[in-house]
Amino acid sequence: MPPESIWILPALPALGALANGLLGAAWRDRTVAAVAVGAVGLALAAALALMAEMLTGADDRIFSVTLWRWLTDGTLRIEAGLVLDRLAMVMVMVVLFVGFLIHLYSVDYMRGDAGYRRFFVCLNLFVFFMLVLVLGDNLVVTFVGWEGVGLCSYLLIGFWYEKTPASDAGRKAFIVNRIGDFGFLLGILLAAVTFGTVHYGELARLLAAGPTVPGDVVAAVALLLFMGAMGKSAQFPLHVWLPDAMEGPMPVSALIHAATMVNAGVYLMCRMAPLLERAPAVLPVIAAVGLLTALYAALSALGQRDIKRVLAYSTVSQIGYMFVALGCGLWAAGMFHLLTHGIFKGLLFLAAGAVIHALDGEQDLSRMGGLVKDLPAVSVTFIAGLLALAGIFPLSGFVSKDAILWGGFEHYGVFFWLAAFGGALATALYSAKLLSAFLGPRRADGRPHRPGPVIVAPLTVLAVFALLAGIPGLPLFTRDTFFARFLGMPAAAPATAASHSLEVALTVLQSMAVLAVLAGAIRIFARARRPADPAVLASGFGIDRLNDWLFVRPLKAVARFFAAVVDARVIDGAVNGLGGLSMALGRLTAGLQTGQLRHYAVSLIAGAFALIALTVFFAGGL
Amino acid sequence: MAFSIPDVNLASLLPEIVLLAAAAGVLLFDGRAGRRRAAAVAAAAVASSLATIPFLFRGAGMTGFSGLIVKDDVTLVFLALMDLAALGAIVLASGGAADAEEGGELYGLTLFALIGMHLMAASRDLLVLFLGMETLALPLYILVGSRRASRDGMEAAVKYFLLGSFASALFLLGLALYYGATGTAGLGALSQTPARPSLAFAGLALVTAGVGFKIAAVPFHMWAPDAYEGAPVPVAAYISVAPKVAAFAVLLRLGLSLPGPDPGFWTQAVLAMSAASMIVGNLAALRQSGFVRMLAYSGVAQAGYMLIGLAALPARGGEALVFYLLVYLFMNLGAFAAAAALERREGGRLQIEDLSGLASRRPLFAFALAVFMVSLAGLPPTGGFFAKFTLFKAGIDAGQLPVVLVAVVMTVVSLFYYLRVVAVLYMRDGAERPEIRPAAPLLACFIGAAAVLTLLAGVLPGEFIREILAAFAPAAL
Repeated sequence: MPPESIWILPALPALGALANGLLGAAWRDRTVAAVAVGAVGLALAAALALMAEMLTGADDRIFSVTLWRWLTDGTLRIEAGLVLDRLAMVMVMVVLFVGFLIHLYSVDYMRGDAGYRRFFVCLNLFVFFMLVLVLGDNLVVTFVGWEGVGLCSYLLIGFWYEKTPASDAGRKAFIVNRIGDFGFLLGILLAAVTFGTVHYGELARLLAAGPTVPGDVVAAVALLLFMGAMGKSAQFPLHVWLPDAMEGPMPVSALIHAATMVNAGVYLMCRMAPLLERAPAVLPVIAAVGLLTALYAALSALGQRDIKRVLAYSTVSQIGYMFVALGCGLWAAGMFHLLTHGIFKGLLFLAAGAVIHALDGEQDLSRMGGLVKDLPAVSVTFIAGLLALAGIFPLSGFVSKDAILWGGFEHYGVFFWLAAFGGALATALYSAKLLSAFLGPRRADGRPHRPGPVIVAPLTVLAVFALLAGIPGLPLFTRDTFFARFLGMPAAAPATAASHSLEVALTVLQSMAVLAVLAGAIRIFARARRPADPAVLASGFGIDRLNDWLFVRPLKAVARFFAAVVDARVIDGAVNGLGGLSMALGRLTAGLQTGQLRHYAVSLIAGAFALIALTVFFAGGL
Repeated sequence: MAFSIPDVNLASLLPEIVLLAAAAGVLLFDGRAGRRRAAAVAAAAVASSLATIPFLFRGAGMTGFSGLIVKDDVTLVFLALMDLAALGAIVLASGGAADAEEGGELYGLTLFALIGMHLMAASRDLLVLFLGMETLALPLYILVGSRRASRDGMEAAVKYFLLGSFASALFLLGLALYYGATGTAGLGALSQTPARPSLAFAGLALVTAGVGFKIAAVPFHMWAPDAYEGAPVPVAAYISVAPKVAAFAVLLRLGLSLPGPDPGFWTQAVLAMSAASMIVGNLAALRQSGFVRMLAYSGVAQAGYMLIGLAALPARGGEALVFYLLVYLFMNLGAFAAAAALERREGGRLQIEDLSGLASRRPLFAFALAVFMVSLAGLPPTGGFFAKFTLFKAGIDAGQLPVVLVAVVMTVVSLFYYLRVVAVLYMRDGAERPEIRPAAPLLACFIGAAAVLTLLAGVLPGEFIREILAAFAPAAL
């Protein structure tokens, strides 16, 4: 394929959305689905062709195309351009590969829904905007995609808008994301003002050329962009929208809120790697936010009973680990965890969707059990994804998470590592909790109905990849993995070079501990799930109450303060006051229009006199 | 006594002559079939006038009548804009629900008015300018009152006529003072300080007032809401765009004829009109329930924004103004076209509430209307955003920060009434509203094209601005 043709990647899903949106009303569901899946499938094929070309070509094979000039203002030029380098290729692969399988899964999953066509239009539109976000060669194009995926996310979370929680959740996601986007936008503006360009390549060149810009300004740009990333990637304290976002249909949770969109923040930070490397003070901030989120969300996941919410918190936690990797300057490790997580978490959501479907909408973990016997295919794939999530050797999650934990140890010392490790243990704990739904005795009445082949096939493919996706992360215990070589982004050197044998020892220790916790927890959960003492489960180990005391109550108090005093009095007062003032003035000015000709004539004459007075006065003639 | 034969060069008025012939011919058509034929002839005449413009563009302009008529690049851009507006008005009139009683005169009068506007934009002499203004004004008075059955229409026409005559009188007085002070009615006379400055500047102020009436700038705007509402919607659409283009061409010429670099006295008057128009227009629009009346006040406010471009002369204000006019042409004509398509048969006025729930019944139509409203409000990704952006930026660059601040605050106020339309379209249930018949195909195409162009101007503003910049580039003013 000629390198200019990368515009075809976003164009295909856009065409799919257009075709279904404009013409699809007259089509049968089967045709609608074929168009939507076909559009993404073709895009995936094109991406694979480009991938093959990239792998066979020279090392720095980069596809780029400038579609049109958008705006020129002085030296600042903003163009609508796309670039497909190796970093973007990783994201494109995740988006299109996982996206294609999820489209396929949805064909069956959404069958019979009144909004079947609307669903596929939104899903295709989402893939389009996601590819714009990924392929954009400057911050502004990325921002267009960024807002576009936010819009699609809003539309799809509230897909069943007749349900109040669904439309509320959509609104919450939209509003929380605006906070992050505010930072992102400020960051773009500051970058444009400071560097005179928003083009990634030019920015990298400027930053490589030397310290022409003061370090604290660079840090400010980096922090503002990170704020945008925090909103989109649900990092503490802007994570609150993601668990609620699970009100959307399951494929949406899998595609947008696990595999692709929520990782956009990680991708953006990797795109801005040249900037972050020039702002060393920002990296610890990113690592700290990532670690805090990883820990907090892993603990929160433990306290949930709803299978979707467990997975949602798990997603927040795993993205936290990605930010930990970025905070250590390990771009390749972060992107690799993004890749593996996209696969196994997409798998977990889809399999959970199949389970919920089979149990007629049951989402409560405490009412699930023994599913292995009833749903063997779904269960096996789910457990494969779960083991990968828990980080069991040698699955993909193990390989990618191990690199991150070691990076944390190297860069920020033993306590940082301990906290991150604690998060990994919590991951094992909630994995065990999820696992218990598949083991032990049945708890549901009636026989679950097994899903059809169109649902099982994507699960199987994803499960195989969840098992094997660790391979690019080999060889272990080195920064020079296959994946890192492909990505070609040099990692920052560690502060203190620790010994190789320590790394091996730590890894073995971690694996042992995770295995032990997982095995032990499965037993505990199996026992705790006896009807005799449901209190343990109901209280969620007290984590919910802890959450309540630690975060919810203080936050509520702060929120109440803001709502009652700042918002109601100050902001609402000001806004309403201004609104009221405008309306009152409006009544006054509209009242000037009396309909009386003589009043109009007076206005005309008075105006003429005023103009004469002004002109002659300012000419100094009076 | 020296006697010189004036250099007439009739070719310089060739498009106007074609328009004149068509206008006279169209008057003869009668009846239902005649109306359709009249529309076709009128559209063809305007299109042929439009077609001559590319040949003259880029330096190959024309002069005639010893320099009384000059068609340079900037003039040609304005001529193209008003031709487009006239074309739009003809499409609206042919597809809208205009009462069937009148024959071809609707189109004939539209063309006569267009000739007047051509003269205004191309003239370099206040007397010729006055001729053009009157040629524009008289057909418009008749057009406003063309619904003979409507009492409101007649009242609006009479008011418009009386106030318009008033404005013409002011203009003539200004012309007399100007001539008295400088000894000429030519526009270049003020580039040197005249013998009696006070007299000349008072004349200039009165001339500005007379032209300000045409753009409905406060305090010369009083006619606009009544006239827009009383007139048939296609006529209101025409009045809201085309005379504004012509009058801004004149004001731009006036502003550039003054001695640079800081013709402060005239600028102060323009600034005052601009601020007053933005404030009064936007605030009054807040409380309107009629759709067209809301658009009338919106038009007053928009004229206020555009006046900022004049205050930023001779710097980048001209380009910004022309770009704004171009986008305004798309979005305002589009909004009026939507109103024309929705106008109810019984002749009742379209209320904003009538748009309730339109999005669920006519999604594409509602989307187009939403695009126009968002663009008028100046939000991205529409052309209205970039139009405001370039205009405000030109204002700031020229050091007119206070008026730009007023404009920004008033833009925020305007969000309320523009977005209220969008909210009514999408969030209100309109089950009990009367059924809306589908728009005529031509009108639907026009609305679609206007929406696409409004969006394109926001996505590819560079492409639109480039030609305008080229027109202004060779300081040939």
